[in-house]
Parts: sequence; C-alpha cells; structure tokens
Amino acid sequence: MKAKHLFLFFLSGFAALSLNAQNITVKGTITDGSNGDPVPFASVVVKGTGEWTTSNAEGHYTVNAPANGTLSVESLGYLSAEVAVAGNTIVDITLQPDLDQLSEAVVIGYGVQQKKLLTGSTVQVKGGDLTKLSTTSVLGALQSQSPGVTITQSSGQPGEGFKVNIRGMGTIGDSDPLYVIDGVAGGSLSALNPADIESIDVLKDAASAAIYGARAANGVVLVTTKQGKEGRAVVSYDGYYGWQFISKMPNLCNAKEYMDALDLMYKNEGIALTNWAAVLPANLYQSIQNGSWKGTNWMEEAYNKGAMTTNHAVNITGGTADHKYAIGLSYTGQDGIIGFNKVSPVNARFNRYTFRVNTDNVVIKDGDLNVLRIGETMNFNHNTNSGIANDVDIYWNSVHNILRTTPVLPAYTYDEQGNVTGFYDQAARAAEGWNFDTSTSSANPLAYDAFTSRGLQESSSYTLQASAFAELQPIKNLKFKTQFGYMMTAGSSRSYNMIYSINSKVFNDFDNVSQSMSTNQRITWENTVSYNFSIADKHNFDVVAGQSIEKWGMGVQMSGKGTNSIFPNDFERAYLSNTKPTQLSEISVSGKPRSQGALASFFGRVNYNYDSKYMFSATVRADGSSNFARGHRWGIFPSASAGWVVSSEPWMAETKDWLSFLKLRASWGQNGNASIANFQYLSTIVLDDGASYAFDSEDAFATGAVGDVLANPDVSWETSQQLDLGIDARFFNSRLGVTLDGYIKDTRDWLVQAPIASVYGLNAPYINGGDIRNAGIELAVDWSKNTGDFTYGINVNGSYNKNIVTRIANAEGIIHGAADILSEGTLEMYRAQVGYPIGYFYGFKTAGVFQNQAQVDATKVKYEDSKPGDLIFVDVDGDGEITNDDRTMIGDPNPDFTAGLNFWMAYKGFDFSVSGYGAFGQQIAKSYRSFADSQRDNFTTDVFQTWTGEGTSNRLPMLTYGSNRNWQNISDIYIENGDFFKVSNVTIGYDFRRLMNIKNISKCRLYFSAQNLLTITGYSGMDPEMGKGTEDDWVSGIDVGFYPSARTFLIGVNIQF
Amino acid sequence: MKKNIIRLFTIASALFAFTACEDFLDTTSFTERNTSNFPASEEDAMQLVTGIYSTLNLDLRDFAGECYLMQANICSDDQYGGGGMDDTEAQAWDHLMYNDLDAQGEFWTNCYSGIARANMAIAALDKVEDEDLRNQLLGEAYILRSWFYFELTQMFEIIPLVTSVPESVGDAAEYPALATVDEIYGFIGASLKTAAEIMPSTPYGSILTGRGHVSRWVAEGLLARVYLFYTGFYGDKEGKTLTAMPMMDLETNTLSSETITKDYVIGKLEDCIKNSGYTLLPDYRCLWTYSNAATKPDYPFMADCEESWYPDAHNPEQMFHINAAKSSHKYNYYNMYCGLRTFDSGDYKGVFPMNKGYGFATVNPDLWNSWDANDIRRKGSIWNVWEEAPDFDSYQFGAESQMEESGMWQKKNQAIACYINGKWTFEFTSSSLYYGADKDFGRKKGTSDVTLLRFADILLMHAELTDGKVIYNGMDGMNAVRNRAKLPTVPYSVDALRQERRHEFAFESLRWGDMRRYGKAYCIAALESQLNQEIWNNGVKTVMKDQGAGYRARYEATYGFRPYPQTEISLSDGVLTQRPGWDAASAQFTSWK
Repeated sequence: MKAKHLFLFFLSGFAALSLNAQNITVKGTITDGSNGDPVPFASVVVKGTGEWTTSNAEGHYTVNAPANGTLSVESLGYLSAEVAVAGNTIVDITLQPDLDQLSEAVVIGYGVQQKKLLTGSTVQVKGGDLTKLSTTSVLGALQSQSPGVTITQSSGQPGEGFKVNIRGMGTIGDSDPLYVIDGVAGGSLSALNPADIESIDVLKDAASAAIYGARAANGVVLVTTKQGKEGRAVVSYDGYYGWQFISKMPNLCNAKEYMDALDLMYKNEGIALTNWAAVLPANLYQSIQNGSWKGTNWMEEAYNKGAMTTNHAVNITGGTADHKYAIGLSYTGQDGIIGFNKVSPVNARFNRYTFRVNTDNVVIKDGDLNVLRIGETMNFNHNTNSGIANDVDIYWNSVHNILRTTPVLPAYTYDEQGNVTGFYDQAARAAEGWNFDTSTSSANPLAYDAFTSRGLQESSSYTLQASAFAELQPIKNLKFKTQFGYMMTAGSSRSYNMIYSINSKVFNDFDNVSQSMSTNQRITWENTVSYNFSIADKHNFDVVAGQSIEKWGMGVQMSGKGTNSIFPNDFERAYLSNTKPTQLSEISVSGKPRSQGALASFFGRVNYNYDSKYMFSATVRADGSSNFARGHRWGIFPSASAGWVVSSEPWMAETKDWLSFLKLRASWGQNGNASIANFQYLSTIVLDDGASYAFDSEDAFATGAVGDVLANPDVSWETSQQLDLGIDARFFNSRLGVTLDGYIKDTRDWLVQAPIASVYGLNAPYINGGDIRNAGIELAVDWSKNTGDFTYGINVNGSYNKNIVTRIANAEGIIHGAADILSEGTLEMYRAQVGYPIGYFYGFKTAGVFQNQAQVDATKVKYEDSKPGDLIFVDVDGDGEITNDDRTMIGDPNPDFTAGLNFWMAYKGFDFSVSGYGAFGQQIAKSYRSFADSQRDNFTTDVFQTWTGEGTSNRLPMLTYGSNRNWQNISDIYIENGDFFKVSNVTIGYDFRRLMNIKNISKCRLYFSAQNLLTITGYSGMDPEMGKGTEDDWVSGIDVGFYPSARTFLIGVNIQF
Repeated sequence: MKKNIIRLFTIASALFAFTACEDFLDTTSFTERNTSNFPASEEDAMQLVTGIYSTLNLDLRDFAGECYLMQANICSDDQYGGGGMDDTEAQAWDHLMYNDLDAQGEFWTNCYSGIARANMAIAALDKVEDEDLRNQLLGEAYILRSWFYFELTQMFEIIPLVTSVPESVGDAAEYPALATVDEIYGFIGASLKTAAEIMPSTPYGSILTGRGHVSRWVAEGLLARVYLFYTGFYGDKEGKTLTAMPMMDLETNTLSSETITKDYVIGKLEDCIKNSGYTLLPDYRCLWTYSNAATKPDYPFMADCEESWYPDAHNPEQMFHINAAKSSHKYNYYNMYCGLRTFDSGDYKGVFPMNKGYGFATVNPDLWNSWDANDIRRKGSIWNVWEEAPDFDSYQFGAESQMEESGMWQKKNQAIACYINGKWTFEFTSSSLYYGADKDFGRKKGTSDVTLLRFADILLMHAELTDGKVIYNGMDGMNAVRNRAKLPTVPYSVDALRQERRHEFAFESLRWGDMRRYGKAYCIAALESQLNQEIWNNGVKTVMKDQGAGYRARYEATYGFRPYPQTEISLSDGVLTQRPGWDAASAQFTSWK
C-alpha cells in the first residue's frame, strides 16, 4: 500500500470521530433478565460517540444518541449487551446474568482462547482482584489467588522481591518462571504497579507453556497491562495510605535475663562468673539490679513504628472502536519497619514511579475487516531504594545484628535534659567505663547501620519496557503480526563507610565511597501468522506459526571505590569526585560490558475443536541459544493436549440442572531452560586480579593468566517434561466451580555446576547433570452469587507438591551447601542430593538429653565422653559410633501443601473481603545468635528451657559455650515446623456514589484494610514465611534474623469518573 | 515447474534463516579468553607463568589457617594449636587428630590448581622464542609444580600425579589413579633436576625474569630439601638406608633407571653457594619484620642492631617467598591467624610490637626453656610475656577464650605494630617508610611476605649432606650459620646440626618435615616434649595433655600424614580410600578435655 493511501485511511479514521447523525434523547430502564429487578449503575455507552451515562438506583437512564446509533451496556455480574436505537426514544434493556465465566477469553501464548476451550492448566487473575488487596507489589497480591504457584516473600524490607515457583522447584539453577509482559518475554514484574495490570495468566502445565519452549521449564506468567476500551474516557484514581507495624516481636532476653543466662553458661563451663559490677558502669549496674532499667531491646530501638506505606495510581482509558488508549501514572512509597535510630535517620525507603501508555489503532479498514492494526505498549519505571543489610546470612544482615547484640549495652548517650546526643559507641564506653565485651556481640547495631554501607546505601533504577506491533489482516481471520520489543534498564547505586569507632574491634579510620552504574538493553522481534477457520461449521481450527529473535546484554557496568572524602561522614556528599585518595591502592575502578546472549526461535501451534466439544492442541517450538556451542544449540520442545467437554454430550442433558459444565483434559509437553553463564562450552582463561602476582612489593602487579572453567562442549538444554490431567466443572447454574489438576513434572538434564574432582585443577563447568521430579495435585473451588443487591463469593485453593532429586551426575550424587550458616564454625547444613528434596536440611538427629549418669552408662552408642546434660545423638548409620557420617535429613524447607482463601461480599455499596494463604509441611532452621563463635550474643528466652538438672529438659542440652558439640553440631534442636496460615488481607469499603447524584462520578469508594492481620503458626520466630535462600537460591527457610513482613493498616479510596 | 521453484525457494530461505541464526547466536566474551585463542604470543605464555605464582597467595589468604605452612608449624613440637574455643581444627592438628575431614579440602584443591596452571604453562612455553627466557620460564613452572606436589605428598603421601590439562570435562570424568611414593618423588626430583640444569645461571639481583621469581638456585635448594625428606623419612619408615632418590622420565612419565644421588645434590648445593650471589644477612633479626625501621626505634630489643629489616624481594638471603602485596586479593592473613586474640581492653600498646589476631600456633615453652639464652635467635624468634611485656598486667590470659596459651608467641610471622608520630598503628607497613603514605590499611591486611627458602637452609643442608665440609667463608655451613648468630664454633655432629636447624628455622614450617625425616623415634619423643607444659585454656591454668589416643599412638597410626578431604574421596569414585589412622571415631577431636 502506498503511503498516500495510508494517509487517507488515517484521515478517514479520524473523520469517523466527528461524523454525527442527528441526535435524539433516548430513555429506558435496565432490568435483570432472570428476575426482572432493575439493574442500578449499569454503564450505557453510545458507540462511536463520546456520549455515556449510568443507570440510577431504579435502573433508569437517559442519554443522547444518534437515531441510528447503538447502545452498549455493561454491569458487573452481567453479560454486556448491545442494543440498536433504531429511532426509538424509549429503549428498555434486559441484561442476562453472567453465569457462564467459561466464555471469557484468557490469554495464551501468542493469542487468546475461550476459557472453556482450554486444554492446559492455567490460572487467570484479573487486575481488579490484585488492586483490591492494596499491596505495593503485583506478586504480593497474587499470593492467595493462584494454586500451584508458590510465591514467597524474599524479605519484609520494602522493594524486595518474591521467590516464585510454579509447581515446585524444578532446578538448582534459575528457577524463576518466564515473565511475558504484553507479549514481550523477559520483562520484570517489579517494574509494574498492581494498578497497571489488566490480567495475569499463569501457564502451569508444559503444554500451555510449550509455545514459549525456551525458558518455559519453570512455567510462564503472561502479563497484560491495562488496555484501552471503546467508549467514554474513564479516569480512575486509586490511592491509599497506611501504617506498618511489626506483627511479632522476638522473645529476646532483657538485661537481667541475659546476665543470668551468661552466668548459667559460665557456671556450666566451670569458670569464673562475670563480675558484672566491675565491667559495667556503676549506675548502669545499679539500674539493672534494681529493675529500673530493663536493658536495651534492640529490636524496639530499631523499630520504625507506624512506618508509612502509600500508593497513588491514576489510570485513563478510552477511545473509539478503532482507536483505543490507556494511560497510567503511579507512585508507590514505603518505609521499612526496621532500620530506625534517633540520631541520624537510616533511610530505609522504597519509591517507585511508573508511567504507561498503551494504544491500539485500526489504520486500514475494509468494511468490518480491520486490515491493518498498529499499536504500542510502553511502561516506564523508576525506583529508588535504600535499606539495611539484608542477606540470609550472619554477616551482611542488620536484623541478625539487632537480634544478637547484648542488652546490657545502652543504645544512646544523653545530655542532662535527657536528649539523645549520640550513639553509645567506643567513646561513650571509654568515658563511662563500660568494659564488658569488645566483640561484635556488643557493637551497637544502630550505629553500625548509621555509620556504614550496611545502612548508608541507596540505589535507583530506570526501566523501560516497550513494544510496538503491526497486524495485517488481508482476509478475515488471517493475521500477520510483527512485534518489536525493547527493554532498557539502567541503574546506579552508591554507599559509604564513615570514619567511626563503635567499639575497639569495630571501627574504621578511613572512610570510603563506592559508586556503580550500569545499563542493559534487550530487544526482541517476532513475526507470527495466524489463521482461524471452520470447516462445515463444526471443525474449528486456530493455527499460528511464527519466528522470533531476541538479543540481550547490550550495556556496560562500571563501578568505583575511593577513600578519604573531603566531606567526611556526610553521606549526602559521598561521591567519588569528593574523595581524595593519596595512593593507587585507595581507589579502584572497574568497567566491563554485560554478558551478551541471544535466542532464535521458530514455533507453531494448531488448536482444533469439534463443535466446542472435543478439543485438541499441538505445539512445537525450536529454540537456539547462544549459551551453547554450535551443534548443541537447538532444542525442540513439543507438546500435545486434548480436552473433552463431557457436559456438551447429548446424553448429559439430564444432569444440566445441577452440572452446568464438565470438562476433562490431559496434556503432555516439554519445555526448556538455558539459563546459565555463557561460554561454558569453552575452556576459559581469566586474566583478572586473582591471577596477577606482585613479584616485587615495589612494583605493580604482573598480569597473570589462569585456566578457569574446564570446557563442556556438549552442554545443552535442560528439559522439563510434564504430564497434566485435569477436570474443570461448574455446578448449580455455574455458581460452584471446581478445578482439579494432577501433574508429574520431571526436570531432566538440569544445568548444574556439579563439583568435579579437584585434581584436574580447573573449575567445574555447567553440565546437564541432574534430574528432579515434582508431582502434585491442585484443587480450586469457587462459589459465588453475582447478581442482585447482595453478592458474594468464596474461593479456596490448595495444592500439594512433592519434590525429589532423582539424579546428580557426579560420583557422590551431592551438591553441597555452604558452611557457617547458623553460626560461624558450623559445617554444611543443606544439600541437594539424590533421593531427597532439594535443599533439605542436613545434620544430626537427637533423641533427647542425657538426664543422669545411669542413662549415659546404659547408652551404648554415644560420644565417649558424654555426660548428663549432653544431647543424645542418634547413630543413624548404625556403625556403633557417633561420627559426622551420622548426619542425615533433619528437615525440608519445601512446603508439602500450600493453600489460599478469598472471600468477598457486597451489599448496596458496602463491600467486605478477606484473603489468606498458608503453607504446611515445611521446616525452618533458626538461630538468632551465632552460638559457636560469639558466646556473648544475646539469647532468646528459651535459653531458660535448657537442661539444668535431671528432668528439666529433654530437648535443649546444658547451656555451654557453643564450641561444645551439643551446640556446634547442627542438629534437629535448631529445626522447627514452619506451618503457617496468614490472614493477608481484610478490607471493608463503601461506595459513596449511591449517596451522590453526580453523573460524572461512577465510583467513589472509601475503604479500610488490614494486611497481614493474623499469622497462625507454631513457629517461634518473627515470621515463618521466608523465601530467600543463602548464596544458593535453591534453599530457603533459614532464619538467622529474617526481616519480617509488616502488619499494615491502611485507608484508601477508589474514584472513577 | 513453478511449484518446484517455489518449493526450492522455500527450502533455500529456511536454510538461510537457520544459517543466519547461527551467526546471530554467536557471542564473544570481551573480558575472558579461552583455550582456542590463548596463548597466542610470548607475552601470553609469560602470563600463564605469572598465573602459577598467584596460586601461592591463597595459602596466605583464603585458607591461611589450613595451609601446609600453618599445619606443619602446629603439628610440630614447637607450637600448639591455640586459637579460640571454636578453633577446634587447630587444636585437633596439634594432637594429630581432625575436627572436619574436609578442613584441608581447599588446600588440596589449590595445590592441584597450581599444578594445572603449571601444566598449562609448560605446554605453552614453546611460544617463547628466546631460548634463555624460555628455559628460565620453563624452570619456574617446573619448580612451582614441584613445590605443590611436595607440599601435597608431605601432607597426604600418596596422591594422583596429574601431568597435563584435560581438554574438556569429558576427559576429566575418570579419576586418575594414585601414584606410588617412588613415582611422586621421581616426578618432583626429575622436574627440579631439569630446572636446575636448564635455567640460566644468573645470580641474585639479575634473575632474567626479575626480582621475586624463582631461579636455578631455588631448584637446587628445593632438590636438596626433597632429597633429604625422601631418603630420611622413607629410609626410617622402611627400615633401610636410602642414598638415592628415584627419577621419572618426564617424556614418558615412567620411572627411569637413573636416580638422583647424594653427590649430585651436594654438587648442586655447591653450585648454589658459590655462584648464586645469595649471602647470609649480617644480623639475624633483620630477616624479620619486627626489625623494620618504623618499629625499631620504639622496640628495646632492637636497640643494639645497626641495620633494619630488608624489604621483601630486596633481601639477599631470601630465595623463595610468597609475596603478600597491597591488594585485597593478596593480603597476608597468615600473620592475622598468628596474632594475639583481642584483649578486652582493646589496647595493644602493652604488648608492643605484637598485634591482634586469631591466636593460632602458640609456642611450646619447652622450646624456650631448652634454648641457650645467649642465642639471640631465641628472643629473635619468641615473644615471651614474662620477658617482653613492659607491664605484665597489660597482657590478658584467655582473651576471647584463647586456648592452649603459653604466654609465648612466635615473632616471625606477625603483623608488627609501630608508632607513627606517636600514634600506635596496627601495621608498620602503613608507615610512609614503606609504602609512601601515612596510611593505615587496618588489620587483616598484612603486606609482609612469607619466606619459603633462604640461604641459611642451603648452608645447613650442605653441612648435613657433607658432614660439615668447609664451604662458606672458611667454615662449614653449620658454623657459618652459628657465626651469624654470634655463637661459638662447635664441631659438626648430627645432634648439633639438628639443634641448629630447629633454632635457625623455628616457626618457618620446616621443623615438622625435619622431625619426621629424623625418624619415628625422634619424632615421637619431640612431640611428647609438649606434654605437661604449663598452658592456659580460656584463662584457666592447666597443663598440656594428650587428647584422644595421644601423640605417640596418633603418630604411629598416621606417620604424620593428614586425612584425604572427605569431599574428594566422595568424588573419586573409589580411587581414594581414607588414609590409615583416619577412619576411627577416636581420631575425631570435638573439644578439649
């Protein structure tokens, strides 16, 4: 088509907007087709014009419309209707209740499909259901709504992410699902506000995900951002403001209890007790003794009580039949509940700004046929983030320090008026004669965060996710679509370590500044052709074929470190240019390109159904990944699925009055994963700092070159193969819905860096070296009544999953976890091992505590020198000795069963909802003190449940130094059951529109919400929901001071014009 | 026809699409190289040799507490384990027991990574055109590879000999077989012999590749060290007199009919003494960092010394050392491990010039007590609280639950403090006298080197092999060393030689090898000299006691070798089985009793 013609079509498109036949006033009543009741507040849009109105409480409406126009009527719970005016001035309209949710379209890969025709296992969650929960993140809102999708918070710190596993953890490598945002793969959900979402579709089974072949092994999450709608411009504002609280304080010892516990420990060890009167300043000692000072509760001190959380989102949607748009703008701000002090604020704050424009235009039209459509989606996001050190370890973890610090240390120094003058640091200790301890157990944790990069750090990021498409439809239902996607991320961060002296061991004489910046770009380009056709009206085909290419890693990373700031101890001015290093070693810079990667793919799918009764679908996708050598690049991922709508069979007619719908479905498919570091197929040589050597201390380093990874030229795709059987049924006029799925998912040839014999002297490459099986059952039940004044609904979902590692390709069949986890000086405590669930806890089993010498003597297998008060370790391997070989599985951090629950009801403008979710069957390994190396760490009050004599305790041994094996051997005394159920959201709202008679306002709802209101658990720690692993992503459930999620109370409004 | 054309076109374009895809999917690393394009040049090959040296740094950093240097000191009779209550590993070593069968896994891995780097360099050095330079570099790779194998075999005895680099992970699937003792020593001997013969004969100060590189002279010295250990230890163990060390043919990797004889070794030592340009320093103390110019003025012990410390790589007695330079990758944590645990007062001025650390490797008082008080090396090696703490109360017994504390600390490997403008400073290397700026790099960041071979050893080994033949400044090697220590000449005897070595090289990780090669009886008697010495555990006074089965039984069971790392056994698919003496639960040390 020539450009001139295109231009003319453009013009004619816009001209359609201004064409107006003569208008007449149309009135009428809208009623419910099932009972004849009036339908209030239905929206009536005059198609092709900007005119619209809503019906009043009695169902009456009045609108201006062309005599030959069409009215489009919508109301929640009803099927939408279109009625021609046909010159009538009175047009009554009947709406039919929407009992059949099955005709809804759901998003599938490269297309949409009616829900009832689906043959795979997918979950759809509507944007409205997400925003209802008033969370700051999209994933947080998904938690209770998606059976089979385990979403666990990585941390309660604002801006932190979630760990998402679809149908169990399928690999030791990258186990995140693939996010496809507006058709572009590889995006990030954290860049979106819940208010940006139109819908989320999770593809759980392999057949549904197979069209995404590569990277779909962990499931696929399809995200559709808000799309424009024909009709009036709808402007909505959603906003809330909330206050956050710690839901459960840890049971830490106070000063007196701490002194008692330490005395008990020393007494048990047989050494002199601490002379408290000598090591503490006299007034401090006195006030502890007479009870006027309870000691410092560091958690209380660090607690930012009532920390704010707020969210504001404006969305505008509208357009004509041929030109639709959606624009969104939002701001989210959230402060951390931990990380506070009274001297200098540690800014634990997360800010997010998003801006989004989506448009969809028909630019060439031939009668009813949209010949050419073009459109775009554009999401821009800017985050700023600051917080406290937050790793799941005992080192880079501020919460751990807050929990461990001794309570006999004051937090602040005060002047005579009682005002805070500073932290209780080394100077204060020296001045007052506080001489108890110099280890990190007594390093003021508030000062630590306020003085160092543990708290003095901020980062910001910029993300642009955009796509543009053109779709050509030369004949009806034959569509050629080309889509270009672009994603850009850029980020910067900086941190600062001041000059400080917290105690004689924790100090810094020379400040240093770190700064880093990075950019990254990703492009995708995909071309598809699709055709829908029917043969003899019964045989319906929907065929799609396509090709895509993707390239990422175009960008650079730079970072630098400098010493000796000219603005010492001023974080605001902590920038590299302000440092004045005096020698080379005081400054370091690095700059490098990002690692590039590419993917090329070809794919096709055929969906067939016979009379919407028998369905069959097959897909195949071929992917080539740049991570593998030529000859090993291409993976082919097929799938097939079938469905049978039993209820459509004529012989089922009798059951129609109670069984509205019944579908059986089965699917099988394979998906791939190529998510490893690049160049594993080559023997790499590194020439980095580590390889260099200084032959003469006066000279610069000589560059060295060393072999790094041993080549694995054969490395190739990891494949997950899944079989899924499912039933969808709806009962009683579709009010009750049941979905049941069973699946077996085998992940084969994991990409894993299994250790190789170290005698070859090189690092292990990724190999296709392991298998894992996840098998489970998912059930979702919903019940609702959607019409009339009183509407309500409930849905309950649950899923059971069993995870077992079936192969690891090295001689020992083990991938080892890290040591020094619960405390420095402890051995490896988690593993991936054949025959066990991934990341299981590894340690000794105990059988109680020796109560007396007679019991010791009577016990045959024990450590030779066991005595009363020691743990009775179990001789698991039965060799008659207690050795490290007796370690075994003592816990499993993977839940067996997860559940979600949602209830909502509405009555005449009032609404009320409750959501909750839980996980069961998993264990948590907990220690708030680093017992083996830091004997002066604070205790939790269960220290008084240790063995102190016969009959006192049969679980916790005598309290001694941690270097004693009772404590230093990782055993089941550190393991607790982590079962929990959280009431995640309770909301009550009222829509004031009923009280207002303003035409332009279609919604004006005020609501109050409580999040994380109640956690039912037997777990003794602060929060049983822990998604973050250690340095190894495949383990979780380790609590050495986990930043807990906040309990939030908030007030919000939803206004729509 | 038309159909065919269309079909052909379709196939052609599909093929084109896939081929184009292959190009599209090719990526390049801009920060790493790989074996398909490296080494390409002479410079690349030299970088591979530098890479071997970088392995040495990890001994001082990542596992400074577990490396052979530390373990040999602690196992010997001169030092205890020490450390805090949770440093059970160190205490276990002293009693020839274990706490974690994987404790030396990283050390094992690192040695083999050094060996792989050397193998890779040796295979690549034909890229170097200049013959002298090529032989120098080849020799360096041979020496370093021998060094790693010698440490490994002293620690684990029987190990696999890996002599080339596998090309891909498929070649590494099978675990290599264990070599015999003769093969291992034959391989080390042949490598050192080759190095001693091909390397250019350039003296100290003009080594072809520069200061700090190993040389022909190091090859000669290490050959003697290996020879003495092999003939001594295995002669005693097997109950026969060994005078020659086997040799391997490096081309075929099979044992050759030739051997390395005593005369050959003596000849090489004499070549070294005469031609290397290395000398003894005039004052023993100037070998050690406490004599540095920043510390010296405030340290009474150094008042009568005219010279001061010779900075690393500028010391004519130092032949082979590990450079610990000013970089986070290269700091000397070994010194840190050997420092005193933190006093509650946090004040170290009272124990000047000693410094903070983890309290490892405390000194057996027997060494001090049996040492001639006139020997300057006694106080030159041992910091004794009763002699050196100006105010005894400034010293805290049991700081941070210090174990096996004797009040005596070695001085040779310590992060030495100093006063800069009157301000007590953690490390003398922070002083402008050394690195140019008035800067404190903080603790843990020691930058002084660790010496592995010095000229005094060449002299003493020569004396030992020749029964005191005159060789240096008109004296035999033993008396040349005594003379430097300002001690009178004594006639050569085996006992005198052994005592001389113990005192000259105290805390230099040589004693353990010496004890073992002097024979089982000598070694056990020496180990037992540690018993009943006065020590403090966590501040509580007690005496050193046998732990587990006791020194004698443990030595008899193990001959001083350590257990294979458990992880490596698991990965070896049955090739490695745990060494004798290490299976029993009684070998496990969990805590002091």
